[in-house]
Amino acid sequence: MRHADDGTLRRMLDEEWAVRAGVRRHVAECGHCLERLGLIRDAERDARRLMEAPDGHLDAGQALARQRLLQAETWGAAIALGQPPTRGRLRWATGLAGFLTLLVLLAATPVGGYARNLLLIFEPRQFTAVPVAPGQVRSLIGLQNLGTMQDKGSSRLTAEADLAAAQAAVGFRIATPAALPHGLPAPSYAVLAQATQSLTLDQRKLASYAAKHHISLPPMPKNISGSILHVTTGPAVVISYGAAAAQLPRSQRMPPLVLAEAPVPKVFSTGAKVAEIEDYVLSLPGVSPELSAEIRDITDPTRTMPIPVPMAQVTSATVTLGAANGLWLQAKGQAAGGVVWTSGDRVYAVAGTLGKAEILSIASGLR
Amino acid sequence: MSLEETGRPSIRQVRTFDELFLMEWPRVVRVARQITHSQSWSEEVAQEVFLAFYRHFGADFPERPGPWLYRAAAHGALNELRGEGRRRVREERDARVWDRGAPDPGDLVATREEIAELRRSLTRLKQGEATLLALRYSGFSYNEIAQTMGLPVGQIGTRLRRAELRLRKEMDHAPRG
Repeated sequence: MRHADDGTLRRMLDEEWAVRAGVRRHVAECGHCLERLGLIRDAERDARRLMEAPDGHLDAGQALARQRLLQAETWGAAIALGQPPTRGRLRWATGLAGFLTLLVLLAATPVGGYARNLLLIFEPRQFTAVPVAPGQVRSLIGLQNLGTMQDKGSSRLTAEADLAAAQAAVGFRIATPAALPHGLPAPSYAVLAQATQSLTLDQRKLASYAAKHHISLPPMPKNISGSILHVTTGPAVVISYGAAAAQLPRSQRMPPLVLAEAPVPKVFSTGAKVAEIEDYVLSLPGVSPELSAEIRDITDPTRTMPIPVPMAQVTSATVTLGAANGLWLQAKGQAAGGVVWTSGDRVYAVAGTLGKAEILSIASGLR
Repeated sequence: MSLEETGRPSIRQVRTFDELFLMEWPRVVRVARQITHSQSWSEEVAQEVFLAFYRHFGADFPERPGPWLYRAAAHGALNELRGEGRRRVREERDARVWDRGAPDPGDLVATREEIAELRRSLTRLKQGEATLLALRYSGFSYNEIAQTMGLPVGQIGTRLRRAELRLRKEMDHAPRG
């Protein structure tokens, strides 16, 4: 009989029953096969010792609660961008603003001489809808192609046991609803740590992107390439009441009620003349003249964050919440919607499937 | 034998994402842990896997979602290891935990230095080799490995043997530090 091959000998170590009886008998009586089996066993033991990782404690229920929060966060970004968001976009957007955030921060008018090191150039106090045509966001050149992005801090949600634990984690008093509809499930709490992301604008990286995609791009001016933009976000808290119904299409999945609160994000710049950067970025392919005009029309660009709204899928409206103005966003033909606004130095969002009137009432009653 | 004949509920009985999550969570974490050798890190990878699954399929599950989830867990964990910055941060954190005398439960068998070296070595294997090792040492049968990786079951022994030899070779030649 022929000698057993290495694969068969290897399987004998794990699933001897699966190897034919005739082969097993041969191996038991064949010095050559037994010697090879010994070598294979030694290698298996060595690999097992290295690879072995005993089970730790797993709490699938707790993990599922965290998963629901991640999905809720994903949904928030999806409604703003009109498409399923990627992890990279979420990191930059912290849920709501996409590429256009950069356009606006670049369009920002600095207060004083911006040649000084690390100027605060953007600190949003209100939100405004910027209509975008289908496909327009997708046609924009991704931030990651304009330079090198770096993350500092965690972009992951951490589940917290209760309100007190969440408050201790974020370090500020969390506003809670004055009243809630009857029958809502108990809330779950999660916290997103403070994070800083930076983008170092880099002509070489952009040129490499252009070469790879066979497109022609205007060269980045020398005084822009090398500038660093820092975006500081969080810490943020997300309070979720109940879970999304899994049988719904994914675009409609959202818990009945989700609240979020964070300090307003801040953007700092190390150098280049902002007006030049603005002109350059708005001249890149994918930015239509209409979109460019919308961005330039924002009266206080240092304090207004644009939310790109795909006209075909999402409706938007300005709403009044006490002394503040909020931006209401709702996917067309669906129950889910949400409102985002700022008050003091905080940004708030309330969203869910409860309906516009209920959600605005809860938003107005946050204390 | 199919993946549904291993004592777990048949996927046909799973109606919602939540049921699928609760059923598959331990196994997805285990596959990721064979690669990261860190309990907390593997849970983070598993969360991303389920999030990607949710985005990709919505409510329209494939009949057998297991293979997709297990492959994604192995590939996701390998991608994490390939991010040098993330790996170093994690190893520094592991070191602090070890110094306090309370190791991550996933880090109990090999030494800390071996685990750091193992992580680097796994990234140098072919993705299929590392995935195969993760599945086998997570307790997958040869039939389950074949289904997950879309390979003939008769090839698994040979490929496993080759992957174990490659791992040893990479460990022996791994630059220190």
